[in-house]
Amino acid sequence: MVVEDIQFVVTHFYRRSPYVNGWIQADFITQIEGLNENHYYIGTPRIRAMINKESEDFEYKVLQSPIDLNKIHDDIKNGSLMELPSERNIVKGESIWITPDQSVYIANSYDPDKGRQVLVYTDNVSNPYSIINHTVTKLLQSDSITNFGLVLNPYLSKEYWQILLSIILKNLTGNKIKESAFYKIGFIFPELDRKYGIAFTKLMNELNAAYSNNGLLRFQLEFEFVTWSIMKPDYEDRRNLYKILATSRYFKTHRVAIEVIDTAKIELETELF
Amino acid sequence: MFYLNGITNSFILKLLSTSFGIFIFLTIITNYLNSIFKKRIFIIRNLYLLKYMKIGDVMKTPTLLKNNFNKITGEMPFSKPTTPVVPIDLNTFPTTHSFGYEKTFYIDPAETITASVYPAKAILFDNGAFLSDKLRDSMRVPGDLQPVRTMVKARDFGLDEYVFAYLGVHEYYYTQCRASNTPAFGAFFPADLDRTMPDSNVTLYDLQSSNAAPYQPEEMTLYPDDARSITSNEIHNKYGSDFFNYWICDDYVVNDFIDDNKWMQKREFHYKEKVDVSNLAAILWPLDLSYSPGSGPTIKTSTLVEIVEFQRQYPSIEIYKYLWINAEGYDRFTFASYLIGKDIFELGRLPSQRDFNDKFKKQFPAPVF
Repeated sequence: MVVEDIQFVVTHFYRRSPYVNGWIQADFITQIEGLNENHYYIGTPRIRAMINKESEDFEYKVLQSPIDLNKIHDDIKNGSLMELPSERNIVKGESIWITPDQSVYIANSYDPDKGRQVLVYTDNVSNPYSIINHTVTKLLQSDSITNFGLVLNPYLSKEYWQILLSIILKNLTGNKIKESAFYKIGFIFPELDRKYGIAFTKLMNELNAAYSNNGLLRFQLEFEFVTWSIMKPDYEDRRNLYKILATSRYFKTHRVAIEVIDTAKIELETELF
Repeated sequence: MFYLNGITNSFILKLLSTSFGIFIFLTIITNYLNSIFKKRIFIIRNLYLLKYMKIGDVMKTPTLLKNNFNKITGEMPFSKPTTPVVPIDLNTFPTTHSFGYEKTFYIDPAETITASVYPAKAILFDNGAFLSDKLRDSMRVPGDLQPVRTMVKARDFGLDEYVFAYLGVHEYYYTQCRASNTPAFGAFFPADLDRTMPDSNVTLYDLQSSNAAPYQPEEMTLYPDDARSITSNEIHNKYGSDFFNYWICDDYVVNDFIDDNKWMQKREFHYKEKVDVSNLAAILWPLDLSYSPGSGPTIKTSTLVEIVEFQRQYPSIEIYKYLWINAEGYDRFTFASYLIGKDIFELGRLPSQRDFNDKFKKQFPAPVF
């Protein structure tokens, strides 16, 4: 078989958490048209020419190296791998992309604006992630303050709190939450901490909301600061908090917070000089 | 006299109550039987080893480790010393450890809701260390729904108390095992760990490998120096003295395609409990691509933020950044690792960032963003 003639077909993709700021790539599994239907490969196995090992025989052998079917079954079972509703052709130079709303496209590996964009999967509307994500997005876009607790409270239950937290943190770190909205939505942090304790701390760490247990404390402090500073913009009391914030690792990676820190620095410098 | 005998008896009973004690006892019995029958009778001891011998016991038995080395180099053709070829010095060569950015898994019994964890962040930032499976398990909180790694044979042998690394190129497939399915990171552990980490040891193969099937784990356990020496011989005998045939793992060509994961056939190094990130010689860091309709492709902001944070915390660790494209993940990751291995082998040092970038881009030309 001539390599150029090989036609790859995408059958599965590996799930990833969507990225709020744009599309991201995901791994996928392919088959080769016309070859053994039980042979699956990771990606589109480019025929490697490293260290002068190029040969047709070698190429053929690589293609005879399918991934373990048991691994595919395991990955589907544990939830990391998703089977596409229908198989789609994919050509060299294309990848699988996941959009922020969890739609899945085949598009150019470097720049999806170049070439085709084929929608191959959309998340089922009954998926709790989609529902909660949609709800949170709507809330953040709304000007209403009063209904946040009412709407989000059901998602603080043990079935959904992890999803809710991950969605809020994605929005937060992706600069999708304005300072005022952060104040409105921030009540979930102490609430989840109260309800789930160490599990909450651990998930916060895993989601990079805090780099350590101490980081979590910083996060809470920062949350307190943001809510408090909005309610009581008292310069004298804020000064000490600014000093703490200036050394906060979490805030350095948080765009909203960077603005706050910048303001704080200007104010401090004005005071000092 | 009776009192002394009591102490002695008590000591023997205590010794026999431990797996190590039973192993010693059976070894004595076996040696006695060998001397009577004038031939090697390992049946009794091996039956015991099959069920009870742990890595901790092996590490307390220097003669066993040395015997393993002698036996392997004596009996396995690939590992026999060769003359007059000058041995390839692998004593300063780093070992490799691969890990993924994200793991996704179901969190509900109905298998409808997924969640993700982030091994790279956990290792590089939260823990500041590569942790053994046992240590990670001990840190799990009730209700943690993340799937536990199986590695039955390794656990049975007690290797879950160790961090694993391989004397060979990083491999993408390994990062995919057990639902680790996104951009691949590659750590280079310095060879110094062999000597500075207590109880460092090596198995000839991964225990799940088909190559390992005929042997008990304790028969394949070696001191790191001996393992490097065997590898040096292997490069001559099996890979035509070509280091890169070994390092890049072209078993496809050399071994007529063994249907096994290639990393499984490499020496598997084990470091007790944890390896601090501060010990790393270098790290391969995937640049995760992001795309926004209308504004085109960029590197994910969070990826850049994490790199800056890592540099701040570990300014002396070399970070080799490479553009990650999932469809070419295997090739990109392996090639990046190969470039570094090549310079260490040929120049005795890590490549410069510029050199690495130039060579990587030559192999994988990418548009400039």
